[in-house]
Amino acid sequence: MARVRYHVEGGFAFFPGLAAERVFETEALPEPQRDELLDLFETVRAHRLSSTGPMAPGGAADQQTYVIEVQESSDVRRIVVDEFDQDPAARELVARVRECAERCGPATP
Amino acid sequence: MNHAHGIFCGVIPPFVHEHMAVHGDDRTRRNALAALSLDTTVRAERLIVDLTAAGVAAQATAHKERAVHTADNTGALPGTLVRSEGDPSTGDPAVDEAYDGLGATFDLLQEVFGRNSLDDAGMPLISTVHYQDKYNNAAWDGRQMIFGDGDGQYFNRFTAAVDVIGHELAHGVTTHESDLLYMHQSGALNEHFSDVIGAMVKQYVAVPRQTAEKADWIIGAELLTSAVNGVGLRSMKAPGTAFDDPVLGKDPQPDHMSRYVETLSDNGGVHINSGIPNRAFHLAATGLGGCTWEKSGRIWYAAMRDPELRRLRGTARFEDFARLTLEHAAALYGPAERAVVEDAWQQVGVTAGTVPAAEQVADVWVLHYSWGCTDSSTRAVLTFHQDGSFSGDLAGKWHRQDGTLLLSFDDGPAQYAGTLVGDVATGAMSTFAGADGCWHLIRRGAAGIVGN
Ligand SMILES: [Zn+2]
Ligand SMILES: [Zn+2]
Repeated sequence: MARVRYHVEGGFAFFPGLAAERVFETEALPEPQRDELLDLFETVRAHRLSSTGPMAPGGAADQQTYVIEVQESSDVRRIVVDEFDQDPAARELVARVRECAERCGPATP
Repeated sequence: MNHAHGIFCGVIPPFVHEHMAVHGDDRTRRNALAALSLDTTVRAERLIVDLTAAGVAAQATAHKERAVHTADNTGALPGTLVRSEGDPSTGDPAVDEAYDGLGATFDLLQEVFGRNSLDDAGMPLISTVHYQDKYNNAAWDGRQMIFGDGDGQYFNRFTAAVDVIGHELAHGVTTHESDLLYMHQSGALNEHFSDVIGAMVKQYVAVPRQTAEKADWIIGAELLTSAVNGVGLRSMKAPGTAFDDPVLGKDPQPDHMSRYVETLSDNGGVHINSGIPNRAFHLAATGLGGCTWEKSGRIWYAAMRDPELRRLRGTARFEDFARLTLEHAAALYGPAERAVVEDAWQQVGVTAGTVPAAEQVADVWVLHYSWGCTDSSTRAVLTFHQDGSFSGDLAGKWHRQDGTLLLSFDDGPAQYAGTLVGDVATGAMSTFAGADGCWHLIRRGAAGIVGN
């Protein structure tokens, strides 16, 4: 099982109350979704590691930034995805994480 | 400084500076500008054009082209086109508010600043509404505007606030001008300028138009639902007081440099520390009186376009921007307006940065000028003051940006533009009515210069 933590930064205004970290366990998800989410996370991480170009178009403003961490036992992997990231896998990951965080109940950091 | 103003703000003419208005026909002006540009930089030419007739010319050819798309609650960008320029209302409030807000911002930029869209070259205004599902944001992705519907619980749809639309478009203006890096102080200045334009649009489209004194200076007043304890997303008048809510938290904006927030969140606090310059703008606008677009807005717009800001780009600090606003306040209006702007920055704890001593223009200079660029010249001793004026044998105003020096005179229409390096400036001048000439200026007492 893995624990996913994420929080959102930025956006048009800064709301301290909305910047709180959200946490959910992948165990709370049905199995196919659980595997898809973790695969997606690794795909985006691989893209990050091999990428040389910019991940977002220049001059963007007010975009939200997602800081996503996956913890499996003592291993913590972390990626930062800008909202207008050009990597489709990264955008998909953000959408999945947001959806899961909503479905998997309130955050208990 | 507070002139008598009516309750209503008038429609003001395009960006033509009263003291530097150009007389004479186009050919004469072109010749004069050609002469001026011989000895100076493209920049000097651009400055003079800005200060004179370019606004009018740009306005005549301004190209308004709006395109509103819908993402149908997905992440597709730009999505499906639903309303193009000239199309009638669609009945979808988000689409129509976006269309109208884009138009209001375009009109302000055109009518007040003579600007032809975001890039000053007629760039289409592209936007997408219904982005994502219950998306609590509005953003600029570097090419277009994006608006969410809000979650309906805490946030309404983001097109409901015209200042938010103006704010997003202003990011496009900044991208094409100073391109301030979106991090830390330069990023907070980027955010600040967007709030300035946003507030200005809101005050400009209000019926009747609002003076700086009458305006509420709240950004995004329409965005929060009644479930939230707050009046909007930010207050330019009283940063830190816009909301205080169990869910959203408390408005984190500081209103003074002593409370500047050092953080790595939010790109280094760009939406947090913008409260400091925001309040300075509010103080300058109310101090100068009238409507924001009459004086304070023009000063800020000129500072944002100053090539020196673009040179600083990622290292620009509040004090640098403050200095540019003082320079432009003096150049556009005079010492009294400069003093109001300086006081505004001082009230928020920002002391305008200074230029290195070797580049100080405030000093005693000897001017040699010759109409027609003949061998014989006239000599005048001038004392340049910090506030942008000069006195002595002749009186007028000076304005300096990087290495370019501009002079105008209280008596007569002559415009001087030249290049200043250390103790010597050389340049050309014109009356824009047939008379051109050459000049040079030498710092009095400068060593090793003959004729000083
Ligand atoms: Zn912004
Ligand atoms: Zn006035």
